[in-house]
Amino acid sequence: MDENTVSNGNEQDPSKSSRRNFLKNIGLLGAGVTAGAAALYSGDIFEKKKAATGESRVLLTQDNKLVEVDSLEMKALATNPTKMMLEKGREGIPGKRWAMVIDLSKCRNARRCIAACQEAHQLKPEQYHLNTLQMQDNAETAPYHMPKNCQHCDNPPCVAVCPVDATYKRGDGIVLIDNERCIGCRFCMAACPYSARIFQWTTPKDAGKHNGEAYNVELNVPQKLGTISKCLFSADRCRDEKLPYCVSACPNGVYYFGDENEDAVTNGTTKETLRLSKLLRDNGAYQLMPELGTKPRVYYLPPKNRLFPFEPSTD
Amino acid sequence: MLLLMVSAAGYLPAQNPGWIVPDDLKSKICPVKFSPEMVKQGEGIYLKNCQSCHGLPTKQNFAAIKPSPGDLSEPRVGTQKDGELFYRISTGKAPMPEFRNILNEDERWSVISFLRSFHKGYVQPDPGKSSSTAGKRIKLLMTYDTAKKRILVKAVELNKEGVQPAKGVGIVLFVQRYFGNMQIADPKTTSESGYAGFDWPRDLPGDKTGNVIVGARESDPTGSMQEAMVIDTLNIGVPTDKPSLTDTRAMWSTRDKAPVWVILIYTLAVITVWYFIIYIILSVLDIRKIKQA
Repeated sequence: MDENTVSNGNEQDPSKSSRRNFLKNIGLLGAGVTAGAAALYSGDIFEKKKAATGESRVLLTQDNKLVEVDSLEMKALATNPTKMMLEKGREGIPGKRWAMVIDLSKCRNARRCIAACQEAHQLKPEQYHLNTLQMQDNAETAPYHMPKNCQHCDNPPCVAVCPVDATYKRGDGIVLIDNERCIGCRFCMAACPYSARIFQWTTPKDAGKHNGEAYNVELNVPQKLGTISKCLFSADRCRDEKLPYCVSACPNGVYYFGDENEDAVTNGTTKETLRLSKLLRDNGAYQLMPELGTKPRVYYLPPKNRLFPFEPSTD
Repeated sequence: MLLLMVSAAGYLPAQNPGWIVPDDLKSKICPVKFSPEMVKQGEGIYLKNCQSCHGLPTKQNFAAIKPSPGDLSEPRVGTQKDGELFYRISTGKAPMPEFRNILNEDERWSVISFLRSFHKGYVQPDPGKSSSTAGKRIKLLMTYDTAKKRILVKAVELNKEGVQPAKGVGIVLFVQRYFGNMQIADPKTTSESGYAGFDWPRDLPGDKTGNVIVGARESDPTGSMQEAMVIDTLNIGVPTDKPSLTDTRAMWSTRDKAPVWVILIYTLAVITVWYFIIYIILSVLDIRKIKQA
C-alpha cells in the first residue's frame, strides 16, 4: 500500500515529461514513415521506368492480338481457381436480363427438373432449390402442381439484409451466394418471401468426395456445411449458352427460359423460341406475390386447360 | 372446344390437327440398316424422352392422359411405315412435343429401331433403295424492303437448264436469339416468281446498334439436314442497350451503389458520434488541466 502511493507519487512528474516525449516520438515516427514511403515510391517509379533488360516474348492476348512483352515484365496470374471463379461470378453476362416462364398447364409433376437440379448442385433428396408444390387455392378450385424456385427478384430482400455481402445480385439479374463469405446467419432465409433458400444444417451430400475441390460460385458446389444454398438460374449453363438444368430436363415443356432484352424465351423440351412479351400477354401470365414489390424474374402461366390430370404426389 | 384449340395453339407449335402424313414423306426410310447398337442407343433416348408418357413397350404402363399415348409395341404402331413414324416423332401432336428440334435424325431413327424390335414380323426396307425426296437443289436469297418493312426471300432452283425461280417452296423466317432461333410469322410458300414476303415485326429488339441476325430456311416438316438456308445480319431491329440491373442505386446494392440518402444519413451519424467522443476526450483533458492549475 505504501509502495503504491510512493510509486504513484514518483510517476506524477515523469508522466508529464513522458507524454511530451511520446508526442515528440510520434511526430518523428510520422516524419520518418513519410520520408521512407516517399523514397520507396520514387524507387518503384524508377524501377518501372528503367528499360527492361530481359528477352522479349510474343504473346497472344485474350482478344486475339499478338503483343511483344519483355520477359522481365511478365507476371504470372494468380491461379487460385476459387478466387478466379468468385471474381467471374460477381459479373453477370453483359447485356442480358434472364427471365423464366413456367407454364402450369403442362406440369404433371414428373419431377425431372428437381432430379436434374439436385444432381447438378450436389443436393440431398430432401433439399430443394426447386420443388413442385401441390396447389389448391380453395375447396372449389382444381388442384395443380406448381414448380417454385428462387424468383431472382429485381428488388431482392435477401440481398438487402445480408450483413457480409455474401449474397448479391448481378447485372444480368441472377441472385447468387458466395459461400466463401457466408457466415450462416440465415437473415436471407427469413427475408425471402418465397422460402427459396435452404440451409446446410448437416454435412452436405458427398462431402468427403468433393473435399478440397475449388468452389464454383456459379454452381454453388461443393456445398458447404453451415451455409445457404438456393436456385442459381444455372448461371454456369447460361454462360455456355445452354438452358438451365431444370429447364432442359423437363419432359413436358413446362419451362421457358431466355433473355428479356432479346424478348425471347426458349422452351426446354421443344427447344422452340418464342417472343416473351407475346407469350406473357396472350396467356395471362402472373408473378408470385408482386404486391411485395420484389419484382420477380419468374413468370407463371395459369393452370388453364391442363394437359394432364392432377395426380397427388406419392413422395 | 374451339376455345381450347385456339388457346392451345397460342403456345404449342403449329401442328397438323389430323396428324396426316404427306405421301412423299411416308416412303422415307432409314439410310442405314438397324443394328443392335442402334437399338441400344434408341432405348436410352426412349427412356429419357418418351417413357414418361408412353411407358415401357409391351408393359401397357402408359400415362392416363387424353388423348391416350398408348403402348408403342402394339400393331396400331407396328403396321405403320418407317416414314410415318419418323414424321409423327418429328412433328408431334399436342400434348406430344415435336422432336425435330430435340433429337437429330440419327437419334429419331434409333428410337424407331428400338420400337421395331417389339414389332413382330417387321422387315426393314433395304436402305440401298432409298427414294430420296431431296432431289432438287434449292438456293435461297434474302433481301429487305426498307419502304415496306418486309423481308423478301427468293428461292431459286439450280438444275441443268441453269438458275430458275423455285415455286412452292416452304420458307421459314427466323432470327437468332441466345438459346436458339426464333421463328418470325408463319411459314410461307414461294410464289410463281420464287418469292415469299414476310412482314417484319417493327418492335423486335436488336443489339446495341439495332443489328439482328436474320435467317430463312426451307421448311421441311421432318427437319432434314439438307435443307437450304440463308443467314444475314441486318440493321432492322430496335436498338436495345438496357443498363445492367446493378447500375441503379438501390437499398440492396453494394456500398458504392447505396442510395444517396443512406450514405448521407450514415455519414452524418458517424460524424455525430465521433464529434461527441472527441468532445468528451477534450473535456476530460480540460478537467485535468484545471486540476493541475
